[in-house]
Amino acid sequence: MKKLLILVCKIGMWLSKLAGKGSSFPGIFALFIDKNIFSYFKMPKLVIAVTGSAGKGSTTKIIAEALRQNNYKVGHNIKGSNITPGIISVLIENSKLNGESKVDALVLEVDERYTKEVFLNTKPNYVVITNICRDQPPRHGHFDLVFEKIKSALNGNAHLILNGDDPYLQKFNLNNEYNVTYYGIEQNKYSYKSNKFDNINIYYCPICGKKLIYNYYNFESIGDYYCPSNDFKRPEISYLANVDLDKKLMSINNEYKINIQFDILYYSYNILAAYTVLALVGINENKICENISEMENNKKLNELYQYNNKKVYTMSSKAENSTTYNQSVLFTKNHKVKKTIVIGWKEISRRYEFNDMSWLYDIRFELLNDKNIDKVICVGPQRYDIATRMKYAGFNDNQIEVFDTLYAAKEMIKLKSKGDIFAILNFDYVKPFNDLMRED
Amino acid sequence: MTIYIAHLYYDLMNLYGEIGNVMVLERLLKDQGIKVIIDKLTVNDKIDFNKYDLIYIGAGTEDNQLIVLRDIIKYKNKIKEYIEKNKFFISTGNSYELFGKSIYNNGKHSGIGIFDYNVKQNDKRLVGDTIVKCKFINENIIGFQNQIGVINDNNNPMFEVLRGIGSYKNSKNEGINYKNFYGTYLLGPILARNPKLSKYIISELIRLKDIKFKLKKFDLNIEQRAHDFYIETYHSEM
Repeated sequence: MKKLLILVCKIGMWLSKLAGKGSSFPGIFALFIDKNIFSYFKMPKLVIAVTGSAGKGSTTKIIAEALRQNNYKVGHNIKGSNITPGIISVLIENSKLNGESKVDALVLEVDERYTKEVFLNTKPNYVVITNICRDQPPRHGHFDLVFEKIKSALNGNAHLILNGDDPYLQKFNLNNEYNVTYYGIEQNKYSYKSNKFDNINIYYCPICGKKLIYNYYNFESIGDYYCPSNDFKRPEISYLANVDLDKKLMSINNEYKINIQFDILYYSYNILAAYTVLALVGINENKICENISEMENNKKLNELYQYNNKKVYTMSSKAENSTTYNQSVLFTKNHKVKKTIVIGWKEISRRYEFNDMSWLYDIRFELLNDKNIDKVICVGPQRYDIATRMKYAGFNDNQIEVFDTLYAAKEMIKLKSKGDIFAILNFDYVKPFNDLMRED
Repeated sequence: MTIYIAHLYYDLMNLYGEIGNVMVLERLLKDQGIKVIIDKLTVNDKIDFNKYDLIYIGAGTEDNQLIVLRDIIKYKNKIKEYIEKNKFFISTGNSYELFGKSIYNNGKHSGIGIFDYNVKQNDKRLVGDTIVKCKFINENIIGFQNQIGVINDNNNPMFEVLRGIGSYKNSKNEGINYKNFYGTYLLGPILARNPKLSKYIISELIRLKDIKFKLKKFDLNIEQRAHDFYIETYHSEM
């Protein structure tokens, strides 16, 4: 029966591939046949799960690619089908008819809301939680609710990999229930002394409630912090990186050097999360450095190219996720050149039709407002909402331009803009924008 | 003229970009040539209510709402006095729950008790776009709701709900207005998305301070376009 069912599911998978259906389709099909489908599969010895509000896709990809480079056979939900059916699809694809695994390792990107079901059934040895930031409030409610969801999914056997620079993530292990390995990034040229952002999820010590003090910040609430009561502080960091964004170089524990492909800080955190798991799994650290340094930049996320005499930076940010936008804002601010900014999206969300604009005010666009900015070009259906936000960020009427589509903005962007172009776009505008820039 | 604003619990109660409301107040007052001083205050700060012309407080997580309740309740009499003096108080999101008689949030708690309503918890979060109208603005007001609390016994509502959730699922009313206290579940930020409402609040605030003050024309063109585009695109039949 079991063999037959897995066979039927595999046929379903091949048919759905032929029909060009989504990568979660076989899982949906399998769940329809038997909702206990998970019990048919035996897990490989190594199961790595990556969850969190942002960066889980990139982190998972780095881990999977590096494992493959080191001769592991890897199953990985590469297309980002990160809810239960997507995970089941990976299992169908990577299992024999008797349910045994065909691979040495599963590397799973897991949606925060589905961690309970997925962790219970796949029993990950390592769980990476990249961050819990403000993300899709209509879907998630708020960050504390996401925290509770993931916390309830964990069991004592999982080894947690956490960013030690983020005090909020330490809440997972306040009772010392888990084996945790922390990674972090040291103070660098772009670190700063006082908070720049408003979308902070944790200001106070989770133990005694006193306000946390920072020696420095790397970004939002991420940095070197401590509670004045001495009951809480940045933990001991096992994988500590020094990052030189200008030289696109990071070195881990002063020994292992990695060339990073794009000088955005969050990319370094994702690399470090992946590095930490790979090192814990036992991959030679020199090899990890070599593998990651040779990986191509994920062009879906960030790209840099030349258009006539301008540099064009495209930064994929996620609508309704102020942290990803703040990363793009800080990146843009840190490039002290004459520039034009393009901000826009086609749809706020693919999941629902709400018109929540509140997240625009969680982004610190004020940081962009300096003498280097020529214009801010606001594009898409919500162009006036974006323009309103820019007005309150301090840009004057002459600096703000609005267009309903990228095509309508083409002349302004390609011919009339001054300086380098920094495009802070929702992911649904990244490809159309790059296509527009590259067409004749 | 100088206007003093207190942004209460700016750190704990800023869950849905609500600092945007303070940005609007500051900018529109400055556009009128008025000096604006904003104090960001939080738990354990000493709050001198006499000092302020306007107090703002926004939404927070359920945990933060309780932390704030424990801190703010000691000012009960001062807050009552402040509101009775006709001074401006704007409370958005679940912060307006604090001013009722009781709040159910992980157990029942006494509220500040300025108003008679009781806050209950819905079994799941209420989320969605909301359109309301009120007596003092000649235009529909738009906003967003994302909350677990509901108020079934508000006898003094500020808004009539035309679309969306309101005080509880499918309710016909929302918010509270007493003297110059304006409380609403509507996020947005409501002042950024509703230029006629922000113009009204600013005008009344200035009038209270100096009835002879000559208001300059408000420049709210971009905000109005955003507002009108939303209504025309998604609710054109209204």
